[in-house]
Amino acid sequence: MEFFAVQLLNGLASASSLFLVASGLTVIFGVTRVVNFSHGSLFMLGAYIGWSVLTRLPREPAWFALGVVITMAATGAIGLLLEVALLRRIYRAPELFQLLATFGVVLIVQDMTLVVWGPNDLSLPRPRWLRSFVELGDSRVPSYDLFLIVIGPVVLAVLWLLFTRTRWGTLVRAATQDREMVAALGVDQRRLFTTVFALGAALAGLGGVLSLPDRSANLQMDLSVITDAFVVVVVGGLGSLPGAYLASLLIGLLQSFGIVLLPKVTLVLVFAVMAVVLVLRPNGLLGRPISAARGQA
Amino acid sequence: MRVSRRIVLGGAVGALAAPRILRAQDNAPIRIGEINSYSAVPSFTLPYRNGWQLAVEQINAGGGVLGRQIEVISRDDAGKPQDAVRLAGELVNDQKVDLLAGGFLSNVGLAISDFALQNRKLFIGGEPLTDAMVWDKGHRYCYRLRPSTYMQAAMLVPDAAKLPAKRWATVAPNYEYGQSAVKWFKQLLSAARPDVTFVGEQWPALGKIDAGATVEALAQTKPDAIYNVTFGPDLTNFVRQGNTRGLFEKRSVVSVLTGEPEYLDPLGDETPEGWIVTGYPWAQLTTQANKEFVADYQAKYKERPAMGSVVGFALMHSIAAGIVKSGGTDTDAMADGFGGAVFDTPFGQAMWRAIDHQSTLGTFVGKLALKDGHGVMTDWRYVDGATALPTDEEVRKLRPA
Repeated sequence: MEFFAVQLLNGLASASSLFLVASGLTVIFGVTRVVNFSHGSLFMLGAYIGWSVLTRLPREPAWFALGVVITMAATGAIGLLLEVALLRRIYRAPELFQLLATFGVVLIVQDMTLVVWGPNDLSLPRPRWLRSFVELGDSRVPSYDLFLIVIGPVVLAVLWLLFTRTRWGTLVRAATQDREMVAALGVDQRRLFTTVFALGAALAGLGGVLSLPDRSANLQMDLSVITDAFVVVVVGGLGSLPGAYLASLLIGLLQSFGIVLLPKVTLVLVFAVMAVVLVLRPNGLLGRPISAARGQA
Repeated sequence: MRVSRRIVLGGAVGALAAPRILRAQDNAPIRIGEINSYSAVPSFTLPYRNGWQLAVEQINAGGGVLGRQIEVISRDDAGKPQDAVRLAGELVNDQKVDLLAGGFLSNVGLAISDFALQNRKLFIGGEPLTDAMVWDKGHRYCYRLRPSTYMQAAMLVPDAAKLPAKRWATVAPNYEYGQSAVKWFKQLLSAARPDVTFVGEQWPALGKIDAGATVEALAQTKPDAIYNVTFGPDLTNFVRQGNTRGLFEKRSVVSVLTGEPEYLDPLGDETPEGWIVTGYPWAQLTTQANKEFVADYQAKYKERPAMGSVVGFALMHSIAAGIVKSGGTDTDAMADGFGGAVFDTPFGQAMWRAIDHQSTLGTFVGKLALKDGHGVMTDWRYVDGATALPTDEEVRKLRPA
């Protein structure tokens, strides 16, 4: 019973980590319809920038929070640059070209990260408060896992408020449903797209920097993160935030219980989940058919 | 000095023309086609590249091999077997290389080895550790430098068998290398200690370990000791979760490769003390060969060598020695001629075995300890690869004709 509870918490914590990456990806896709392959690179930049910032700050929780905010701002700014310099020019291009262009960004970011930070894995030294744990019977649950479990739904709630309670959010939702109508009403789409992309990039950065207490910043993380993030976004329904959270929960929990029963299931599990969900619900858990979202264009 | 376009162009033309002139004199450079996972695993492969570049520079400065310079054409397989095979084809057919070398991941190494067999071209594998490279999928055209999964297990098992632990659990990445490493450890430890049982196993996907859940699943099986095969980012993640959750308290851990600088350094002040590991204590190894290697390496690159550096360096020297012994670069002459060739490495002399094309390069076995906030190896000893291999008779049984 106790083991069940601990594994449940593990699943919830990995679900939150997954959601942090997938949320930005799904927001960007929902509005711009760009399949942003470079989202994992923004995650990786979040980890590396976060490492550089956090190793220079005092190691108390308040400073850690400040470092996280700085990192989000930095990756958000990088996302903004990326949108203005590259993506803005290819919105009208066929999807394959967008995929290729963002994949080009993956390669560029990888090489630049290698030049700036070097080939070695960088790990953030953990101060005592990041190593603390809560005892649950014989087992220990890291306090940081509990923090992660909370942060996922918090981010979901903040994004939900942002999208439903602000004018900007209303416009974003409108653009998600019918881009051309929004344009016809005189809304500056370019600014909308740029800000959405920056927000998505900042979320990727958040995911990256919050992964640091658990793992090192390394040059493999961009690609290892992007596949899972795509699965989450597809399972949840392209463009749907609550869907992405549900999908993260599903995958996180299945993973943490699955490896106990079938240790070798690790390679196929996420894809098996995706296959089953897509058979039952071709548009994902909470997704809508894409053609309707595009209008009559 | 002003560098005019003419000087640059002139230099470039000269550089392009140089090989032709050499070829005219019938001592054209020896072309080695090198493939490795440079973009996928830079923490290992960049020190590795530094290592082989240093060796090539030294060999060429000393007059080359059989009077010919060595020229390496290097490619990045991005950690994917299909890319590696495509690049091997390009190197053999377009670049006309004399032999292939390299490899990091075991599945990629096996793919290149298979290409070598199909195309009758020699492949000298550096790092791929699976024993299949030289045993059940071994063949005439494939050699491998590093101590295999079998050898690493055989080096660790004597220490593991001395532990009082009876209940063992294993954790390994879910691909060729991890599976092979666990298979041999189980087999050799069970032979040395029939009272041992294996109570649990975890197989995280390479680079994607769900560390919290993995640690908890291992703890659930209540093992006395754990055999770890994860490395790189997975290892850091696993150790951190294991430390917080107390997985390693009152338990012994035996771990492959964890003492290698590229994997040990990221653990920092969380290095778990007392783990029995294989690795490379580069700063404490004061043999003449290693001191010279470290000094040359640091002079050139201004950083510490990693295990990858040793592998790259020794790989080139092993190839040079093999070519000298074969008397040239004819593939069939080399396929047989490498056997018995002796070469120098930072760890001392090693030899290519004729029987299974494995080299006798060894590695270090020791314990992890913390010193000034970072991990080091203590109580280490060098284990010669030749002493960690089964008898010739068994090897013949393991290897197809």
